[in-house]
Amino acid sequence: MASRCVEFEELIDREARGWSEADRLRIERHLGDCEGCRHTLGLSRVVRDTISAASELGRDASIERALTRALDASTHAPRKERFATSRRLRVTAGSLALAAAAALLLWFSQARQQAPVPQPTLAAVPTSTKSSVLTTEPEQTAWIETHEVERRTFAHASVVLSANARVRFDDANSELLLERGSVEVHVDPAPRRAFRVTTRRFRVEVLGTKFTVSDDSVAVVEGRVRVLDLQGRAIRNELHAGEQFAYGSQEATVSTEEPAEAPASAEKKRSSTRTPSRIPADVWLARAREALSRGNSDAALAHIVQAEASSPRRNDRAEALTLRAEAALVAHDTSSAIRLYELVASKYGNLTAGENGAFAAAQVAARSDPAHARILFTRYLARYPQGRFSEEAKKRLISLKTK
Amino acid sequence: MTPDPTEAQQAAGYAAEIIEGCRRGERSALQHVLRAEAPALQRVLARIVGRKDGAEDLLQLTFEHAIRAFPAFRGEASVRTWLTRIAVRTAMHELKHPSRKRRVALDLIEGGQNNTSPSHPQRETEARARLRTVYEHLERLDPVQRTAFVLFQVEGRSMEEVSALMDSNLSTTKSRVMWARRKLFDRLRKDPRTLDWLSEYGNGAL
Repeated sequence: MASRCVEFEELIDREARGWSEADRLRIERHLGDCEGCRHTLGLSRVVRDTISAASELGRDASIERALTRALDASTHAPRKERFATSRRLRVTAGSLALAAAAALLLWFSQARQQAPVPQPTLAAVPTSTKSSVLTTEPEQTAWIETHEVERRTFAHASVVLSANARVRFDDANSELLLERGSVEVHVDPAPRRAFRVTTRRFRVEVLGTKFTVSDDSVAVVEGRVRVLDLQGRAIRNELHAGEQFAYGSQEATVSTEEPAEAPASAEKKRSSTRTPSRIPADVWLARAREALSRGNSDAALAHIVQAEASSPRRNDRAEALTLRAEAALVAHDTSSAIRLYELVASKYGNLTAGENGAFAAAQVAARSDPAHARILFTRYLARYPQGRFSEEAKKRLISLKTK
Repeated sequence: MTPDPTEAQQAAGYAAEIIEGCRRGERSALQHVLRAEAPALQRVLARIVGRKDGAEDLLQLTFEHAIRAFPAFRGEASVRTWLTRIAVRTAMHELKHPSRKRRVALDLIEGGQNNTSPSHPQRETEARARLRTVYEHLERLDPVQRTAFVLFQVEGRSMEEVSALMDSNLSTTKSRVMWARRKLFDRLRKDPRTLDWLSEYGNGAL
């Protein structure tokens, strides 16, 4: 997992322009403490050098062909004429589209200035689920009330609403108002738009992440968020994956206490009252990955234990065991890592984690025990002859046999 | 990484009459400029899109767009920057709307023309495998984030240059690069094929 050290990211961004001596000292000090950042810097260089080396090519013949064809295409009279015509058509079509859009905008603004639209009935207003109720307000700002857990999409965010939640979405500001209940939000970072969730007490701003918000708390599963008061002042500038904010005092504190119950788990409960919270396995696993990225195998193992005790699904159990193997690697216990990877492969062979484990065991073994590695690569190929790493495994086997 | 020529050097290389000839669509002028800039454009296209098949088509498409747009070129940016912007847009369009089914397998290294010595086939094989792995994961990134990442992290351009090439503001570009880097590195870390990658890099030593 990539390092979350903001300071490191700022420094690595400056590498392209060259580091000053002061930069170099800061980086060396930081890398001395942070194994995650050491790993990230190494990966960064590997990726850069790998792609750079491959694309330094001389392809004179293909350049000439492309250039000749492009010039011929551009200077050929009929194509030019067609192009000129099509450009005129595009301009004309564009003008028509602009005019149509302007007319629509004018009509829309005039319509809004007319007498308010009669209150819509439930039958008239479309709903995404029978379980929710729209209170009688104009459609653009309708409140949504749920009786059961349900998932909705608001702009570029997928949101799971708890039972008995009451929310309203302001599309213009990408803001979800949460009056009651809790929401689990997964924001797609690709559109590069902020997304906000506002409760009666605070506002959460986010750009591409996964988190849970209730009346008085925020818990982050992936990415990071900022928590503000309703006047826009920052209460907490950054809340990272695995952290929780609890609103309860003048100076709100951040703790790793259990967050408000995630709405998805409320499916098992029909009561409308709040039940004692319980962190799901995937949250513990995210915390474990975060700890491993910082090089802290002890903390990672503690989180893994919690994940395994949280009624994990089979995929989560496979990931927990894989993370145990990674924790062993971080602790430089290679033999345990190999054993754990092999265990993942044997217990979860039909999952992606199982295939990954089989290959990883062989890779790790190859560092110190070629004979064992040969056995493991052979075993991998026997089990996954068309696997994702089959080509790589064959080549490693050949290289090991020649040693 | 070979530094790009400064604008002064480029200006000295392309006389005013050459640029004017390009604006008028004169074949010889266009050939002069596009042939000189082609290797850099080809490199950018290859790094962003990451495949050999169709690279020539993308370069041709870039040339065609440039030839059509030259009459409107007013010289606010250098010719290379202007052409690179066109190449970046062409590449991004290809990523968003692939003209043919993309193969993840890469053979950007052809016939031993890569930097590795022909006497080290093992290294060449490892380099190919590594390249394939990197692009397998790059393929899963959002095209816009991927492009920003390649331009910044691989091409070594500044954030300001990347913003200009992608017609976006600085903070947007920084976010794109950051998200692409995190997603890519998260995936690479989880890929068991990368376990040995850092041994020759000293696990990030400066």
